[in-house]
Amino acid sequence: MKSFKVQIPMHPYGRSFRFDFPISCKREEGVIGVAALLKMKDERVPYDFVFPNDSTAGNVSITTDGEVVAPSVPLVFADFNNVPLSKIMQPLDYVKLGNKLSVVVEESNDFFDGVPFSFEIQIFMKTKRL
Amino acid sequence: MNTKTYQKIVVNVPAGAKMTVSERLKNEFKYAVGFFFYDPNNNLGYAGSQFSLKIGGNEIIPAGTDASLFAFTGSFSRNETLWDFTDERVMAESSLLELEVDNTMNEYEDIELILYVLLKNEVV
Repeated sequence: MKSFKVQIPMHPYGRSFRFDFPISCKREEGVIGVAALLKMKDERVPYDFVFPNDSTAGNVSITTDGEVVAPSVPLVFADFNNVPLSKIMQPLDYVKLGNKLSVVVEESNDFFDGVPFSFEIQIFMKTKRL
Repeated sequence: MNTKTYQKIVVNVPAGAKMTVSERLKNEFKYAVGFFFYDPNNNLGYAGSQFSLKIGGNEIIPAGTDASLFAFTGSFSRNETLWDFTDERVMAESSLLELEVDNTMNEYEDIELILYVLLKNEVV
């Protein structure tokens, strides 16, 4: 398994964020599952803040060397989902990993609008070596 | 001859501590095919505990991964919670398992977690 963490700063409403990671693979390796979790990084959450009922806060797209690994992975609220990763992980057809992984985060349902604290997004990829 | 078993490893980590446990997997089983944690105090998520897992020197789970994501809480079945190693062909046969648990993120919560590694002689 490979995992990556990215920080989303305050008030990212109306913007998307792109993160690039170098990848090192010992042998040919590909992705067969992916999950994206959102975690709060700031404990100063306003007491009257209402979390969304649908438990997702946007989408993440993942590419490797320009090839799409997953076009739209739901961003799952980790803090309020007592769900094992094996249940959140979305299975994919094998996509060979390249040398660079790009993750684009886009808010899709106004969740981030006016939220006065920062988040950490964790990307988990289940990998398989040939 | 048994074709599968769960190898159980109990780990207690005080608040603010990091601990690494090493244990040989049972020699009479050929493959390690998955694992999950049992969280008897149901506080792994609250404590923010992280871990890494290696078997036979190969990194199965990288450091900095939340332990609660692999915890059996009763909301799902053991099979649903099990993180399977898929086609990695992780060998058991006395391979060294190394579990590092990092509980330095909090000052107050001691944690106990019980690692169950599923061992089999055949991979379907």
